[in-house]
Order: sequence, then C-alpha cells, then structure tokens
Amino acid sequence: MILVGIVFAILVLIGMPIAFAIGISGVVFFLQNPDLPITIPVQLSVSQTQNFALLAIPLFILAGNLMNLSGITKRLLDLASVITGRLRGGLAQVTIALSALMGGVSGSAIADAAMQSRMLGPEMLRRGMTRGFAAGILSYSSVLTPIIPPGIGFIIYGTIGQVSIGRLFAAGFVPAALLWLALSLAVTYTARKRGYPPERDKRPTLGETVSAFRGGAWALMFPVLLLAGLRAGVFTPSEIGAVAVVYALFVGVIVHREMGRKELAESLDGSVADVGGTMFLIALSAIFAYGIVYERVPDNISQWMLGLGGDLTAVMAMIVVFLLVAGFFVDATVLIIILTPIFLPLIRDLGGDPVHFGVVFIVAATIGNFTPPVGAAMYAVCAVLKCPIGEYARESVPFLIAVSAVAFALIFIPGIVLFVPNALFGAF
Amino acid sequence: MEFRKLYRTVCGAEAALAALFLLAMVLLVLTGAIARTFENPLNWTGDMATFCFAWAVFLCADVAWRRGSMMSFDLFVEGRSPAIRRALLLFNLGLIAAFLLFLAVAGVYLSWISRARSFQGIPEISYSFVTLSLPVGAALLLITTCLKIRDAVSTGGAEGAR
Repeated sequence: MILVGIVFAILVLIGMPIAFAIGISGVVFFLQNPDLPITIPVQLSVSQTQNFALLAIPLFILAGNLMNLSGITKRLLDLASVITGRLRGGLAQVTIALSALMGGVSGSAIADAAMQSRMLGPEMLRRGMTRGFAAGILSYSSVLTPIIPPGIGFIIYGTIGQVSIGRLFAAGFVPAALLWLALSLAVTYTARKRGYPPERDKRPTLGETVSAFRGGAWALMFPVLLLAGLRAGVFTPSEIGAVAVVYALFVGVIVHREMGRKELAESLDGSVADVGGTMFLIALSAIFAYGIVYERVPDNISQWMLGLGGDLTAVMAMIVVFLLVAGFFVDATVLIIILTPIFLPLIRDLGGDPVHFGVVFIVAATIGNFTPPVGAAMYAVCAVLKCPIGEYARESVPFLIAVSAVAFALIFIPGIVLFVPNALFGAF
Repeated sequence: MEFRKLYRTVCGAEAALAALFLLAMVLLVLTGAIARTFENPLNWTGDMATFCFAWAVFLCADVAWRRGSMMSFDLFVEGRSPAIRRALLLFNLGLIAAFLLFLAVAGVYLSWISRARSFQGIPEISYSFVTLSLPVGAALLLITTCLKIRDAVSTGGAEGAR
C-alpha cells in the first residue's frame, strides 16, 4: 500500500485528474498481488453505483442546481439583508447569512461560493471593499452550506462509514451557528478597522421583515421537512433527494413561476458535469479503498497513534491539524472519500462518537476548499472577482482563524455537536 | 468534416441521455417511496434506479472529462516550462488511456462471465446490463482521451490538461 500511496501522490502532483489518479494507483495494488482476480477493480467501481445510499448525491446535486434557478436565491438574499443589514460590514455580513440560508436547500460549498460571488461580488467592490476581503468572506462563508442539512459531505461520510445520515444532518445546526458567529465577528473586526458601514442605515420595518420571511419560507421550510422525514423514518436520504428535486421544481415552476424550459435545461446540463466530476471519483475510489482494508491500514495507523500515548481528544486534534494541512493541497470531497475509511475505525476503537467525529471531520475538511494553493471555492470566487491568490490569502487570515477555532472547539465540547441529534433521535 | 459533425451529435446525445438517466432516477426513487408509503412496496424501483445510476455516472464522467470539470492539482505543473508541461500532459493522457483500455476489456470480460447473475428485484434481467455501463463509459472516455492526445500533439498547448 505504501507504493500505492506514492504512485497516487506523484500522479496528483503531475496534474492528472484526481479521479484517474485514484483509480490507477488503486490498480497498482492488484499488480502487486497477482493472485487477486483482475476483474475486481471493475466489480468494485460498478458496485459503488449500486449503493442506494450514494444515489442521494446526484439527486442532491440536481436539486441544488434547480434551486439556484428557481427564484429562491433572490428571495433569500432579501431575507439575509433584513437579518444582518444592521451589522457592520454590510454585504459581507449578508453573504454569511445567505450561505446559511442556502445551506438548507443546497449541499455544496463550491456551488454556493461560485453563485454568491457572481451575485454579491461586484456590488461589494463597488461599495469600496478590497478585493481580497470580499473574495475571502464570499469563499469562507460557504463553509456553512455543507454543514446545514442537506450536505453532500455528510452523505458521503455517512454512507462510507455506516453512520446515520439523519443524526449527522441534525448535528450540523449548532456548529453552523457557531461558525456563523465566528465569521460575523471576524467581519466586524475588519469592518471596524476600515470603516465599512452596515448595509442598512435604519431598522427594517415590520412589514419588510414579514414579507422577507414569507419570501424565504419555501427555502426555510425545506430542511425542517427533510429532518422530519428522516426522523419519522418515512424516507431514506436518497428518497429525500428525489423529493428535493420535485420540491425545487414545484417552487420554481408553480410558486415563483421563474423556471422555464431554458432554466430547466441549464440546470440539467450543469448537473450532468457536476455528477460526472464527483461520482466518477467516488466510483473509482473503491479500487483504492480495497487495498486499504485488505492490508488493515486503519489498524496500523491506530496502533501507531496509540503508541504515541494520545487519548481520543488528542487523536482528534491531530486529525484536524492533519486535515487543515492536507486541505491546502487536496479538496474536501477527496479528503472525505479517502480518509473516512482510515480515520473512522480509529475513532471507533478509541470509543469516540462517529457523529461527533463526522461533524468535526467535515468542518475541518471543508476548510480545505478555501485555503491556497488548492481550494475549489477559492478558485471559483477569485476567478469571478479577478482577485490575485496572494491578496486573497493575506486578507482571509482572520476568517481562517475564526473557522479553525470553531473546528477545535467542537473537538473539546462534544455536547455542542451531539445535543440536537440526541434530542431528536434519542441518545445511544 | 462530416466526422466532426457526427461526433458533436454523439456528444449531445450522450449528455441528453445522461440527463435522462438522472431524471429517471428521480422518478423511480419517488415511485418506490410513494408505493411503500401506501403499503404496496415495489421491489423493482430500487434496482431500476441503481441501474440508471450506474449508466448516469459513467456517461456523466465522459461529459465532465470532455468539459474539463474533473478536479485536479495544477499548481506544480503551472510553474513548469511549456515543454515539460506538454510531456507531463502526454504522459498522463497515455497512462489514462491504458487504464481506460484495461477497464473496458476487463469490464466486457466480467459482463460476459457473470451474465448468469440476475437482479435481486428483477430476476428476468441479467446484472451484466449494469456491469456493462463501466466498459461502455470507459470506451467513451477513451475516445475523449485520444482526442485530447491528438490536440496536445498537434497544438502543443497545455489545453485540456484537466
């Protein structure tokens, strides 16, 4: 497996798409073990697509793309502005709120960052914010989207690690609130120093508030319905994904009447490429994961880590540090796919809670989307705002500190994470 | 240039077919959920949905590959000279082509030897129709890869590196 790891690292380094790098290095393991049937790699990749739970991923990708064009986003923007308009930092506060609100209908940080930078980015620059600051908060605020249900990271983690997706979804709310608070404080800090004013100079009237909440009601209701469906055991996550697609169509076509043939075709076309990019990687990762299990890599790593004399908290802190560093180079989805089978057994051995670890893991891995040199959300935002990566890196330091601090806090106080799922689903 | 036109048509049909599989998954999963809610569970909807899933994944993969929307790490490569970049690109594409050829051949072989295996929920249909999605997808990806190799050789540019 060491050779497999080296081959993988070299292939990624020389620019091979990660999906192919993971498949090809996975096959190296079979070349090393000629007694294994050579059809296994094919069988493994195909069997990933026969996993009913993973079917939730393309469905939620499609639902998210439909929601973006259903007219929900515009209404949520009004709502976000009503909620945060009085805070210092203006649109920077609005983008955090909008990410949280969008989190309830979409599950991808990258899609959220790309969309918001187009919606809010130019306006932020026009109001005198620096490029680096605007790009930084547009990118970092999207950490909220995958943490608030539904999140694609939770679905992948839950499916690979056999952890209840309902519990994981429920566990996201409180950490998301903390992330929101931390980012909002970081924005306030910079806004005070530079004199960025609030977005609104007076309080929104009662009428405005009511109409903003009514406009956003369809989006706000969705995560609640979703959790209710999972809690009642009526639907599986994949079925909820299908319901989400229909819900987005219903809201876009019938309620808001903003979705026509053009929007429908556009979101389908975009979804095809998104599904291909994500699912092909997941399918081929099964080839790679086979060797990990076959050679008991998680056991060996846990032996080694236990040898260092660490307890559960120390091991989790080490994993978070590792994820933050690895996140500089590898994207969140890839981290979750490759590392869940390695780290989760270790945490289980140490008596950790898989839901608690899952939330910490997803938060820490998601931060990798925002940090240079490799970060998909960062690239998406910087491309729209034409922001040099160096400027982005310099000005987003307060945001990196804010979200990392929350990631560490979650390790030490499992109660913050487990309170909601235990209340909803009962404690173990 | 007839060939080019034909190829574009095929690409359009591929994306449309992939989208169709996605929509079929939605309908099948929904039908299954509704049927179960009314205490009349259907055992074929799940199997049909995962059948569509397999085909959707590998067709979508080819679309993503052609449009350059597969994730990759470009930082190390970006700093190199055009000649080295081109060499690395050709090396990558060559290796990918070999890998895809392996998947296509091993996939067809597996589909053939396991043709007697059937779906759990639909015993009349062979599971090989699912397995075949991978070799077919791999063959399509191989065509895309070969075109990328041709582009890299003829233009010498680092376009299509992703």
